[in-house]
Amino acid sequence: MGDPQELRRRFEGLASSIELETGTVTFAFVSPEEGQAFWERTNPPLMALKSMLPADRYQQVRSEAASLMLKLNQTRDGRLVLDSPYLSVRARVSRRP
Amino acid sequence: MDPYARMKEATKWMWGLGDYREVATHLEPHAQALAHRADVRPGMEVLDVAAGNGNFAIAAAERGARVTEAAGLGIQWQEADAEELPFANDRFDVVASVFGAMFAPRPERVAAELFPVARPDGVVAMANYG
Repeated sequence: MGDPQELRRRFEGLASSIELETGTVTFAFVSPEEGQAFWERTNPPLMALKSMLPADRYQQVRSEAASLMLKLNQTRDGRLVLDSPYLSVRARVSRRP
Repeated sequence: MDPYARMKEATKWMWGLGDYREVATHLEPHAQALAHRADVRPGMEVLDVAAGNGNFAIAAAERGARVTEAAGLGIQWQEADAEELPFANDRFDVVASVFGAMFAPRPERVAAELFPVARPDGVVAMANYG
């Protein structure tokens, strides 16, 4: 429900007005290594993969995740800064017949 | 077993693995911003769906609302299915979810559940990743 068009479709007939704003959650770490450790310590999907995959396969996932984080890094100063854009919605509930 | 029920059990197990408190500190300002946007005021009745650590619930309670979800701030926690909310229609002034209900397997069902429990002219407020 983070896509404006999709959200309007799903709220059609339920809301009398819909106001949308975009925002960004920023996750900043002193280094890529600290960032990766944070996600491995806190991110349930990653933790589930670790508990379910063979060790070598998990290491492959870990390596690919590290590459992806570096690709998405918003800075080149040695830190890891990841931006997660999101949609904020305020919908007014329609009066019911 | 209904495949969606199995998916919900698996999802519940998965999200129970992490330490959400640490992630929640990053989300707290965004929950406060949404409570401001939703114009939560003292005396309002507020529902925080898929509340996680209750970032929105706490932000709403701090603004004086009565909240269904947390402790110590006039908040009541209740475990429920976001696709089948166990609340009377037209009960809440504000129904919200901050990066929570978006993870339900059938978002269209969640959308259809959020609105009836809010009173007419009430507010449904969400923060959802794109």
